[in-house]
Amino acid sequence: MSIEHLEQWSDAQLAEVEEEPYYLPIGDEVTIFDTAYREQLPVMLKGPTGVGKTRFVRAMAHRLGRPLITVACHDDLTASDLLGRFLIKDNETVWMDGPLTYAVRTGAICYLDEIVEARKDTTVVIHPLTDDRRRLRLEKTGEVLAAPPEFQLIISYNPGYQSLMKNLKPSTRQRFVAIDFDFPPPDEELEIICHESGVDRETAQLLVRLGEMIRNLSDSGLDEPASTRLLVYAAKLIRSGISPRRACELAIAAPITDDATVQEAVSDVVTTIFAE
Amino acid sequence: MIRDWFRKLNPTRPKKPAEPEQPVTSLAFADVESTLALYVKAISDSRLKVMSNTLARQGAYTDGRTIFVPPEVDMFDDKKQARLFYRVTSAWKVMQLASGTLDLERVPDPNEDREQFLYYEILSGEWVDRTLVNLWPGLAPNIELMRRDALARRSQNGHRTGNLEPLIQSLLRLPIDHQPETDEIRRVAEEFPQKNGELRDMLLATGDMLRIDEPGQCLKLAFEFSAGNGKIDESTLPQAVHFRGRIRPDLLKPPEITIEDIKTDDKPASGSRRRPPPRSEPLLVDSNEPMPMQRRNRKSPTGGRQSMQISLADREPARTFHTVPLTEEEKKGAHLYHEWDYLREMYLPEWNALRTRRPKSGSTDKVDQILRQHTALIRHLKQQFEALRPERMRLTRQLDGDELDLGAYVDSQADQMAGLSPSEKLYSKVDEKERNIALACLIDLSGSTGAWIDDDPRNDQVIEVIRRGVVFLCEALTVLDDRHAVYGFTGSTRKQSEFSIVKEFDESYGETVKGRMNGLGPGAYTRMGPAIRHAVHNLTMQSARVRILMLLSDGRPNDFDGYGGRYGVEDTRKALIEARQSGVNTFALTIDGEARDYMPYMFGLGHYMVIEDTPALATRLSEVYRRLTVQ
Repeated sequence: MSIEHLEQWSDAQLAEVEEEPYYLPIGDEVTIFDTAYREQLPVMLKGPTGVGKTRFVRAMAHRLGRPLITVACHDDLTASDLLGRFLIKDNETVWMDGPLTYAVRTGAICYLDEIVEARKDTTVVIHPLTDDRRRLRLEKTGEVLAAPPEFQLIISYNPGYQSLMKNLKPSTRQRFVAIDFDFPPPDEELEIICHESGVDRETAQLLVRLGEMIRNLSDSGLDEPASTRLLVYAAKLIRSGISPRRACELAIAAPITDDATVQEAVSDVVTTIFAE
Repeated sequence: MIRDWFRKLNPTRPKKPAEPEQPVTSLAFADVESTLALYVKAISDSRLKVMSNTLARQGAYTDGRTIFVPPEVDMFDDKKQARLFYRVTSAWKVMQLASGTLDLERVPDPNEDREQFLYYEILSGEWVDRTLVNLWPGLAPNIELMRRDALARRSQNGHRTGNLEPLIQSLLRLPIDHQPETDEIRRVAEEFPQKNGELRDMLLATGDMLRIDEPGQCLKLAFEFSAGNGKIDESTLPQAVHFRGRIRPDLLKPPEITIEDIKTDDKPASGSRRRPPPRSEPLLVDSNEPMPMQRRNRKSPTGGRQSMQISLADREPARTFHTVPLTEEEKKGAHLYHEWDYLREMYLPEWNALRTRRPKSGSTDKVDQILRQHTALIRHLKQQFEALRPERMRLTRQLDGDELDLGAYVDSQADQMAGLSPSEKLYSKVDEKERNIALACLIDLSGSTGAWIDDDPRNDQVIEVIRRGVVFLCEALTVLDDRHAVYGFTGSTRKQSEFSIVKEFDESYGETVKGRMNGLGPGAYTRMGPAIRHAVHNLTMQSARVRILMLLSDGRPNDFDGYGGRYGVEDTRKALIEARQSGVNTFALTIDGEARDYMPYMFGLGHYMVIEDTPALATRLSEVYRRLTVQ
């Protein structure tokens, strides 16, 4: 069943989180998540890209021992993509559950990543799931599914991302418990970089400092400043023998902007922190 | 680790100062400004700006908010080196401030003890070099290079005399990649035979100082040196080490004169370099009870503002100056506007004389500087505005359209076979949206815009932030077809409302307009009613689907002749109601922390924005416009 689904859902993946993912709690987010899960409240993770939202979800799924279904939302994602549709097979029609329906049926954790990317009419289908009814209505089959207590809906949302055209509707956002994610404090970020990349602490310390400096430019023409993920990428490149300057160019300066001036300034900052 | 990097250093000699017959390569600050501004912002935690100043030709300096660097660098025969010099000297100044060596209690007062100050400059400079190399190891090779370059230039000039020069040169000879060993110090001291002994002692003491992570020791040692070495001959005063520049304790002091002081004292301390902008006082006074312009101290708990909370129930007695119509003389050449008298609940016809003027267009240096310092941001804003361009979008699953929607067709076939009623929405079509917007941006140019942010003269004046905001908006709008005008307003009394046309709808955003933006400066009072009425009048002459009036303000409506308090608020509110009735959307951005007392009443909830962080006004203006006009 699940393999079949994997093949059918182009935007989603299903996984039992078997190995414990590394996640370093920054605040009380784990407690809050536990409470929300117990109280059957849907959760919204807010924050910039690359600060550990997805990792957090994986860690929580592992903690709860539930399968995790992740849907990467995009602007062509329709309600049928989430709920399911009839397919034509050998001259007959077969109903195929979408990832959300499957998650409700099996009591999995469903994670809708970057929900703002989905079309507004699509996000509305999650509404009945997110209030105390916790029901999912499949119009085409006439079914009404009641979500079991194990089911949990999580969405992620990046408030700084893109334009206000893609903002989440208030009627949608007000159905969630929001957990804020931001760049981790320096000490924690240092731990994360060391753990994820295996780089020495001295280099990790310099990367943290670099990240802080580049983040100062977030209101000067930089869409999204250097995330923890990018710092980890740079650390991994350094760890595998690429010179720190080159690694930071490849993993940080070039990916975060196309603007020549900003890129030059970021490169200057890199050369301030790392020697040849 | 640092040592390894040093080994990789290219051991070439530093560039020699250009010989007169050699072509001198010069790099202007303007060429590096946009990158350097971002660089300094990044490494200083957004605390510092960078600007050029001719006074910095002898060495960069800072006042704690801005780093002043030379307008051009021509001592290298290579632009790359010159660019590096700009970067290193700026980074050095950032570190000098961040490391605490410029904390006022640390810097000796040169007027009290000049020797101690000079020693402190040298010793703390050496200390900052090492701190910088430790914290920002990437710059270590550059600092090393600059030290050698400085030393080469100094020894070439043959200065080895005086008390200070030998100390500077021998310190520059010490290695930077590790704490100097006693042997190394002895060897360096021997290069100055005539002062070997005392120099050795000084260097040894300095070596101890350099081992400490905290700059406090610099001051102690400077005190010892100055006490032990006596007066310094002014003729042997050494030049600044080029990449370190100078310490300017006079600029580091928090401002002594605040605007409040001037008000009570009216005599700015003579010789002060910093004066608050002159405030134009109205000449004609036809009221016996003038309402003073408000001055703010944003740091005080109340924001320093006179509290004028409007109680909508209170009724002020009618004032006599509300009864005399304008004379023919006063009406001449003016646009006449009515005014709402809330006390009598009636319009006073032809009550305001508003005169339009086109400010003289002159130099565009301020605008050019804004463009240079914010190239990246402006490009970013333009990109964001480009997203507002009407785009051709193919709408799927439509009842009718120019093409069959294959996905919809397949779904409907499947539904039909499953025995469901299939959807009829099987077509797709192209949807073209049109913007057709006219915007009038109305700027409050009252005297209070001359105030410095947080009343600290080292910060920008409010008017500078407003100028920046207007430039950003006009730059961003160049990618759209939205018609827009920029107006400023000020004035004193109803007889002299002044309406400056910075950019009219049909004018293009070019040198003339930029020159006018350049010249925007603080005026007198804030009589909002007539200015809004005139801007709305101009807006309604534009044929557009959507008309928007955006007001940029720093305070409540206020004029000299009783147009304050509730009266001004009521007339402004009425003017805005008239605007909405004639189909103009209104929105206000204000930096007045007390705006919540009156803005909801004037503009309505959701139609204004209070910006607590004044410098953010510059980008908010464009952001708000973008948000208002997203389709």
